[in-house]
Order: sequence, then C-alpha cells, then structure tokens
Amino acid sequence: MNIKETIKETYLEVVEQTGNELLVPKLIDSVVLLESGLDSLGFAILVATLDEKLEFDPFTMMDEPFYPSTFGEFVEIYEKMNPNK
Amino acid sequence: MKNLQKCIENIPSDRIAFINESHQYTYSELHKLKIQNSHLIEELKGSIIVINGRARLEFVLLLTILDSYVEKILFLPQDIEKKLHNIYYQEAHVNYEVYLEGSILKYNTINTHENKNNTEQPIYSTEWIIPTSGTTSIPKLVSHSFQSLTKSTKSDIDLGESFRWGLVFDIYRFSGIQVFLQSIVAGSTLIISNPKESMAETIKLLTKKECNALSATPSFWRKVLMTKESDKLSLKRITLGGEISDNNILQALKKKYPHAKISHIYASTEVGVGFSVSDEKEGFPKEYLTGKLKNIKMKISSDGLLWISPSDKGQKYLSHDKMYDEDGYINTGDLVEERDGRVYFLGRDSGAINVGGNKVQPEEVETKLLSTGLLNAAYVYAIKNPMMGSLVCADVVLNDKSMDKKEAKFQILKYCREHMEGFKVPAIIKFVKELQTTQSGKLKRVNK
Repeated sequence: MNIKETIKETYLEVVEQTGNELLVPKLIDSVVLLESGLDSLGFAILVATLDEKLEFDPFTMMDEPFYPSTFGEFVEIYEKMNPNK
Repeated sequence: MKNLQKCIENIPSDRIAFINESHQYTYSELHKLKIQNSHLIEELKGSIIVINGRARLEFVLLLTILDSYVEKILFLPQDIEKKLHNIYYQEAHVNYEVYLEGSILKYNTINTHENKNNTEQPIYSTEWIIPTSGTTSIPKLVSHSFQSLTKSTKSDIDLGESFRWGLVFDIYRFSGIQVFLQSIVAGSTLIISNPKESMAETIKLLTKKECNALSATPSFWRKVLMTKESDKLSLKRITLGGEISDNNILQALKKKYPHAKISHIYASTEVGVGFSVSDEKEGFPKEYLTGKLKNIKMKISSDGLLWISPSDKGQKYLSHDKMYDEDGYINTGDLVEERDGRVYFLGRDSGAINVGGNKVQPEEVETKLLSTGLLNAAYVYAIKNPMMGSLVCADVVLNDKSMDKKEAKFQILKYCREHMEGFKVPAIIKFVKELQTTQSGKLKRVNK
C-alpha cells in the first residue's frame, strides 16, 4: 500500500474511532481538512496513528511549521518527508 | 514500650517465622541467632545502621536481631540509584552497614559512633527509616516508630498460628514491611519469595509452602490470575494495596477465591496504614470522611486532593521537610471524587496528562479500560504531540489472547467513548503480552 492509501485508510479509521462522521462524500485532494469531519483532537490522533504505522511524523521533522489546509496538502507532506522513499 | 523483641518473646518457639525456597527459621532459631551474635550486637548498640540491598531473608533476620538495640535502621532497597546512597547515608548519619555471612553478623564502618557501653540492657525504640516509593520523583526518607507501624496490626498469637503470609512486595518498602510485621507480630509464618523468579515460579513456591494469606498490588494480582498455578493457591486472606483497586480485579479475585476475605488497603509511607475497605467494592464509603475511623481523620481539599491526619504522628521526613499542615493533615497527593455516597480514587495529582489543556488522570482511564471486561491489565501514559501537547496512549493486555485485535480495539474504544469525555479516550491502543511492574509491584510508569 502506498502512503496515500495508508493515510486514507487511517483517516477513515480515526473518524470512526473518535465517533465522528465523514462530512464529505469522498476523500479527494481538494477536501478542506477542517470541514471533513475530524476535529483538532482527531487530527492529533491521525498524526500519532500514522506515526505508529509509517514510523515517522513529518510535522516534527519540518524545519518550518506548515499547516496543510486540504487533504492533498496533508498527503503531500507525508510523501515529501518520507525518509524511506 | 512496644518493640519487636518484646512481641516475639511470647511466640511458641517451634513455630516457623521465615521460610524461603531453601531455608527456614523457627522463632527459637531467631533467638539463637541473636545469642550467637550478641557480642557484635553489643558493639552496635545505640548506633545508626543501614541494611543496603541485601537479600530478603537476610534483611528480615538482620531486622529481627537488631531492632531495639540500635537507634535507627535505614532500609535501602536494591533499586535505589547508587549515586543517592551517600546522600542518604549522610542524611541518616549512618554509622555502619550491616550484613550476614551465613549466620555471622558483620559490619562495615562508615562513621564510628560513641558506644555508651551500658551493661544494663538499654532498649531503644528503634526508628525505622523507609524510603518512599518515588514513582514520580526521588524517594524521600521517612522515619517511623514501631508504634506507628503496628497501630493496626493484629497481634492475636493464637489466631496467628494458622496464617502463612506470602511476601511478594519489596521488603524494604512500606508495603513489604507491613506484611512482615503482620506476620511476625501475630507469630505467623512469612514465606519469602525471590524477586528474580518468574510469576509462575513465585506462585509455585507459595503453593508449595502452603501460603494462605497474600498481600499484593492490583497489578501483581492481575499477573497472578494469568498463571495456571494460581488455581492451586488456597487463600483465606487477600489484600490489595499500593495502587487503585478497581471492581474488575476485586470481582475476579472473589470469583477465583470465593472463600477468601478480600480487602483493599489505603496506605502510604508518609501516612502509614490509613484504612482498609472490606466490602469488596472499589473506593470507600463516604462515612470514612466523617469520623467513622478510629486511627485517622480525612478531608478532601477544594482541589479534590485527599488529606489524612493520622492520630499517631510518629512519622516524619528525615530531611525535616514539612509533612503536615497546621491542622496535622498530610497531603496524600491522591485525587478523589465523591459520588453516590462513596469516594473514588482518580489517580496521582502529579501524574496527569495534559491533552490540549484538559487534564486526564491515567488511572481513571485505566480503570475504565479494565471495566470493559476484555482486558487483564492496562497502562495509560502520555505521548508527545505537536498539536495537542500530549495524547493519551494505552498499552493493554487482552484476557483472550486469540481475540481479533481490530475487533478488540473497536469494542474498547466504543466503550470508552460511551463512558468518558473524548479527550480522555486513548488515541493509541497497543496490545502487549504483559506490563512491567516495579520492585514494589506497582505498574512501572515511565515519562515518555
């Protein structure tokens, strides 16, 4: 499974785990994160769970803080910072 | 004056006092050991001694022959960092390190003391200096008198004959000392386990030596229940202490050992024995706060902390740090909550996890996790998170190892969401084979 697929799968798991609901019909690149159904705690859990699965956390590796606003940007950060590529 | 020597004088001499895998000592043999070493005991009279990291059986022998002859005894457990030894030696003004070679008492001199050399028998009310468990910080030394340590110990020698206590706590710590005292003051037998042995081996020893009374932490009991050997234990007294006892473990023990009297005890090195609860339910009745107990008074401060005032205030910090408030109460550092006529423990004040500004008590989450009925043990801790500061993480041990992890996680989280606020629900759940415990038998809490 590539990173994007892993993120998608984990995203849906966390939505379920936190008792939230996906507020968009489909997780596509243009989906605005804060309107997708996860709150800030949910995002924190998503990043922590991805850290467990992928064994890296791009947000702690970045020199300058960057906050993604869309799902596409979120995935891009993981792809860019992936130490195993 | 009450002291250990006086207590054991009246015990029938053929009873076994201590037994481990390979050795045993009757009460008369303890007396012999003392006579055999009387010359050296005389030299040590009135001094301050330390027992530093010696084996458990050796420790109880030293304590038994030297109490009432020396002024103070410092207990230094094996898990105390070496770099702290000198600090503690100075704080306690230690004169000698004592140990046994076979049955011969020996000592190393740290600082000589002035031997008062009284030919008459000077009997000291020896101070026992016990380090706190120091789960979250550097252990402090607390000095106790025999009086304060035994205020709730049962001393019926006739009744004591039928009890065989298992020692699984660290003998150098308050909880282990309590088991030792309960056994020896009533003339019972103390079965001493080896801390290096596995749980299965420990239970085998206790079974072989016919242990019928056992005091341990809830974490320890959960491990006991996971062993096949636990079926063979025949217990009539079960006590839990050192950590929060939840309904789950109390019920599991009741089911396994239906004939045992089960109680959980609230005690700390500072407070001494606070109280015990025998109704087999978690927490304690609210009436305990309003003068129902003889030996102690309790209050809950506005920030939810439990404060206890022991009637006997023999205990103090060796460092002269303040232990009591103006009204004689000690801050236990335990957060409690009153609900429906009962008081429940939430966890340690110092151990809270901060999730985006919300405080979470790990013990509260652990109790909830255990009440799912799916888990044998749970350990909740913080992991750092750039967005929330910290997140709640849980290591858990499944009751049924073959259960599908995904399904287990789903059910656990569903239960947690229904019973707790969202920020308290574990963000990460890891399934592990077993959880680490400290020498005191408590869950090992590591700051990650």
